Amino acid sequence: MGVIQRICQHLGKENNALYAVVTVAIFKSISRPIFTMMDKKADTQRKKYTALRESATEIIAIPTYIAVAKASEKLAPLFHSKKVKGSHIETTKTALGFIGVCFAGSVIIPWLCNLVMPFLFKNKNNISDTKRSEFGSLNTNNTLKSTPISQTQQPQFVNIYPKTTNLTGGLKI
Amino acid sequence: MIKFSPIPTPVKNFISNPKTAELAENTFFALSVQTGLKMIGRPAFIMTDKKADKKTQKFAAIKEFSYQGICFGLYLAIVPFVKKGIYNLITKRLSANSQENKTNINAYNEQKHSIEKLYTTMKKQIKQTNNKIQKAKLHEELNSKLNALKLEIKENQKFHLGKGATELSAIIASILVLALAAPQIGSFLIHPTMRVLGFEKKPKAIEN
Repeated sequence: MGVIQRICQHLGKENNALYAVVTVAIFKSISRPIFTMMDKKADTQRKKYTALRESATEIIAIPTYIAVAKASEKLAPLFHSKKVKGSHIETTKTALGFIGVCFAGSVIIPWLCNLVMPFLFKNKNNISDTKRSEFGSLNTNNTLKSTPISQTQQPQFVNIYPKTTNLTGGLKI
Repeated sequence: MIKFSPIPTPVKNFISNPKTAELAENTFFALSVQTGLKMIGRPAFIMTDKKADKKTQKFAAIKEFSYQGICFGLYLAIVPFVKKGIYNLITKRLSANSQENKTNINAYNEQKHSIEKLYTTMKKQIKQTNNKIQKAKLHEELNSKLNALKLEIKENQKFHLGKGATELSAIIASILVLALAAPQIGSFLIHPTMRVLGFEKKPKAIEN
């Protein structure tokens, strides 16, 4: 039996939302830093910082998804008044695992990233602070500078998206 | 003695319902919901951050919402087509390996086809009926027949290969769209989107 056949047989028998979410996160942890590093417009230091941040996000996300989904599955007996076993419990576990994955993706992972990233990139923060003052400039030397835009005009922070040269961003992920 | 439970009965019923588990097992549905929730949850999370000032919060939340929205839209628009192509490739490969695989995949496709056929014909019948009692009866009949067919897919081993191929193709399509295409297209579209929304201005590079 080939690998594809084995995977198909397993997924056909019991599929789980966790499989898809974790697989996508693994691929994102590889692809997103690669895309960032491929960006020819951005400066090398900035690219390295963004790539590290992106892979760190996904590395945090993978165990979080697994832990939250497994912890949610453990709550299955609470949803049954009698002590039931077998397919009933399995059905509830699948639904709870899915809810756990959704909760992890929308709440726990952003919270963990906001908590962990400042510690992980303590030294790197100096780079981003200097960059924040100059909108659009990605060079560390002073040969190319952009017009500084005041805080009242536009809020500025670290760029998290690959292939973007503007120093604006979102979550610390 | 009545046992006290902290979980309300409607929630219990929803979570323990086999239909909920069936939806959770569907890769496309699960990832669509997850991406949609990210679109709402992440901006909401940014807005609760007390360290940042209001303007920065609003800007970051709108940007995150736009980015996740682009990913969500791309996912819904592209994945069904990519998934179909990948499913054809996988089933062709599996069918080429053995005759048994071919028979099992055909059986799964036929079962899926009969589910679709049953749904469309009975829905037509329900629409044509004016009697409310008759309508309710037909609805019940449709649900029980659909459940029986779906349960057969879950429990009969000959359908597992075909169902697994469907899920595997959905996972591969999700990787292609969410991990490879969405970051590229999202980063390309995010700044024009923010400019349209009035949250960003075109940067003016001036040499010193």
